[in-house]
Amino acid sequence: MRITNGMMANNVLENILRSSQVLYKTQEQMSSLKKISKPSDDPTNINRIMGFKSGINRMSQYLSNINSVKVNLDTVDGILFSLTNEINSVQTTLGRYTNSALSGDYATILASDVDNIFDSIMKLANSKLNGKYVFGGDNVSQPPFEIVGDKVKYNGTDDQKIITVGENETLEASITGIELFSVHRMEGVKYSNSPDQALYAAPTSDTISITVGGNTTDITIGYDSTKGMTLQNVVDSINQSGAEVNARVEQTADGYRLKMVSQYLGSDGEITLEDKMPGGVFEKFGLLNSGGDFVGIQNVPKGGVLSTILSIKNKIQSGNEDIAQEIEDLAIGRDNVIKAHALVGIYTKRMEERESFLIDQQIQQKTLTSSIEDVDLAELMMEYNQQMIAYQSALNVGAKIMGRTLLDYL
Amino acid sequence: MSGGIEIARKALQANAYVLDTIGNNIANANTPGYSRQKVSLKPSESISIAVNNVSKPFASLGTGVSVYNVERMRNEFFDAQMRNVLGEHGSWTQQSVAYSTIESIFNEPSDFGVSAKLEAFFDSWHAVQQDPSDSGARVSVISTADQLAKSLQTTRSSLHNLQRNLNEDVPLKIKEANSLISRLSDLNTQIVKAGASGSSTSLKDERTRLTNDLVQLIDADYYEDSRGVATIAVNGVILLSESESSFLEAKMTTESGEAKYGIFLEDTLRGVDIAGGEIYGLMQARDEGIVGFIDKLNQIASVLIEKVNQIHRAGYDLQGNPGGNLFEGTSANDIKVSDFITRNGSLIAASSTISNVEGNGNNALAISQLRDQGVFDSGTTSISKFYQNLISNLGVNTLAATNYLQTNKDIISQLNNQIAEVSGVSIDEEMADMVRFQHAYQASAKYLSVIQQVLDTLINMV
Repeated sequence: MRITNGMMANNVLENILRSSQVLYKTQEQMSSLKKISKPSDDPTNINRIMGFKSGINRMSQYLSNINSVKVNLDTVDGILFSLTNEINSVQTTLGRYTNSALSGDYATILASDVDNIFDSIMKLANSKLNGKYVFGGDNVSQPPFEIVGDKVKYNGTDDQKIITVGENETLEASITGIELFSVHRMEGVKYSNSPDQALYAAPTSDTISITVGGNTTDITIGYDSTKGMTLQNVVDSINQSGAEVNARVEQTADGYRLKMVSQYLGSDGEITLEDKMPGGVFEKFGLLNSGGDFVGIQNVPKGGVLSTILSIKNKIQSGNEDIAQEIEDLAIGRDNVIKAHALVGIYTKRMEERESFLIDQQIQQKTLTSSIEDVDLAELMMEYNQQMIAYQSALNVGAKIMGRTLLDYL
Repeated sequence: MSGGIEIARKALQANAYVLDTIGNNIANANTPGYSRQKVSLKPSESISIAVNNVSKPFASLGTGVSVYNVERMRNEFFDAQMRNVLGEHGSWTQQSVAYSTIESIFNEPSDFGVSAKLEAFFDSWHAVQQDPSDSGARVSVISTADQLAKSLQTTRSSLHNLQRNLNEDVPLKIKEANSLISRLSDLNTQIVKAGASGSSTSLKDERTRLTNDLVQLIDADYYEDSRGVATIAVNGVILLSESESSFLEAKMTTESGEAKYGIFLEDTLRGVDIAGGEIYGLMQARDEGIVGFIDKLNQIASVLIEKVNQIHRAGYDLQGNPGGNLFEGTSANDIKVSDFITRNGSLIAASSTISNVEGNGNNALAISQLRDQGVFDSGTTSISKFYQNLISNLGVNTLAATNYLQTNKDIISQLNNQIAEVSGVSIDEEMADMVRFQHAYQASAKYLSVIQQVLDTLINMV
């Protein structure tokens, strides 16, 4: 084989170039501390890295979601603590009222006592946080509890605030007036695919009546056999009728259903439904059966603390001593508040568990990302040294070989 | 005796030729494309002389040396192989540059690419969901949406510019190819003319070099006949033959709404299909590589516009009005945040109900959940996953282009070595030859002087 000087020179040059390319790559990795800085560095792992990074980023968002509501829950915890204290003091005061025959003067003092406590309970119930009412559900701009005559009206909704803590995973993060002060709520158990899906089987009668705390409202839906009747029709008709309930279409995993929330607390807001004929609208939506009995989902509106204390206050002021029922209701109501309080504890606990889970996951994913993406500096240093030796020997050999020809010896 | 002078003359001349050739070889040791030349010597024809031998009355007497040929040391087989590889090499050179540029346009993984903006956009909805009345959170949604739209637009327009630049390079390269064809055509004529007088070696070297340059641009077929006439054709279209040469032309054509250069025979409508070379690489990157990425960006943008708007319209803004379109446009080309929303964050439809819009963030929640929804590939791939696949795909393509290029480079350097083995100048070899022929020359000169002395002796005797 003939070896020419050009071949030698090219060969040496190629080796030097190759070694310096490898060195350059290693230097790049050492200075950026990243093994993978562009997709072509490792096309298979780039997908994983981007996936992990997006996961880590999400978890940060979930953690920040949790942090922002944990503060709220702490505040709610404090409010409920005060609320329980106030209820306790009503009970103590009432104990004195029922245990002794009270003279008129003392009754007046007691009445003002109860009055004061009621005021502070109202204030607590209408607590605000960051300028928003805490117990009104989605209605944050209007005081949720309002005294109307001798009843307490609930202006809020039954929507609990939820936060996202994972891919399609949410946690409840608030308490509404419903849980706290017992507001009657009913839901149908027949589901439709959309709020606007027409009810094809015509109801026998499109007239219904809703009674809330003794006030009955008759409502005619206006069934049109050509258009049918939709959940939204019914909801709109109920809401426009003046019946003291807030109706809405509720979206659940099974589909859409009819939901009604009373506008008044406790037994004052108890809802009774009636279809004018069997096979009517409420039956179609799964609230009543053909016998007119309730078959939907509801909570029993017992012991609304606010309404009970209001009634106690009114009775004491008017000298009515028969408050045995109220005392019983108050005990139930106190239990409701304590249950709600416990719920706050549970929510907080869940958040904390989720928080530590997310932190763990985040660390794991960061470690994994790092193991794919980051350089092992010690290993790289070793490689660098080897490459440096290769580079230097390429230079050395090149300089020696290229400098010699037969000319030197002639 | 006079024969001796003639022998000396021929020897001096032959050795001088050899030394000249050695000089020429050394002078061109580093000339690109130069083929080593070698003088072939042969003994001159001998003459018969009568000898005193009964059984064999004649003997042949040598008359010195003569120059038989000056050979151009070249292996045509390696040249043919080289031409094949150069086409591939040219194509991958352009494609690998294009892919590396696309990589830097996407700028992933980083905090500035589309993927980071996508994450930030979906993240921003969480804050609105938690507190729909917070105007800061609403402004942040608008700004992340705006950044996302802009980053999609910038990425797309950078890709589009690259595509345009690649397209603009096509006529430039065609011009280069045409100038090569014209020089090759001149060389063809000169070589045929020089063929008889034997002075075509350096012209042939030049032609090999230019042909290599041409096939690097366009993968062309090369054929050389026994007289040394070259024919060059691209996919059956003859560009160069003994009698004529044809040039190429890049003409704007419109294909599926996109104006781009196609290759035609000059001044005709005859299209030329090429399958290799830098021009092919440019067109391939322009038509296959970039288009796919622009297409996918457009898909992401249009799905984003459609899905986000769909959810957004179903919600209610802070005034209780139904939401409008958050994004305007139809693709990555024109995606932007709707003007009326940009000016007023309260128009973000975060609520799913018409009432209690300050407390209801369910629509914001629905948009934030869009992030993990399968909206591509019949509902199996989420937006960010789709984008990640795009980037992974880009990585595979870039790596493949780089690898092909490296392989071709390796083959070329191997072929260069093989060619150099035959055609390259070795200084050592030339030096050794030089010493050899220098001695021969010196000896011939000495011989001449001896002959002269012999003749002197003879003449002085008379």
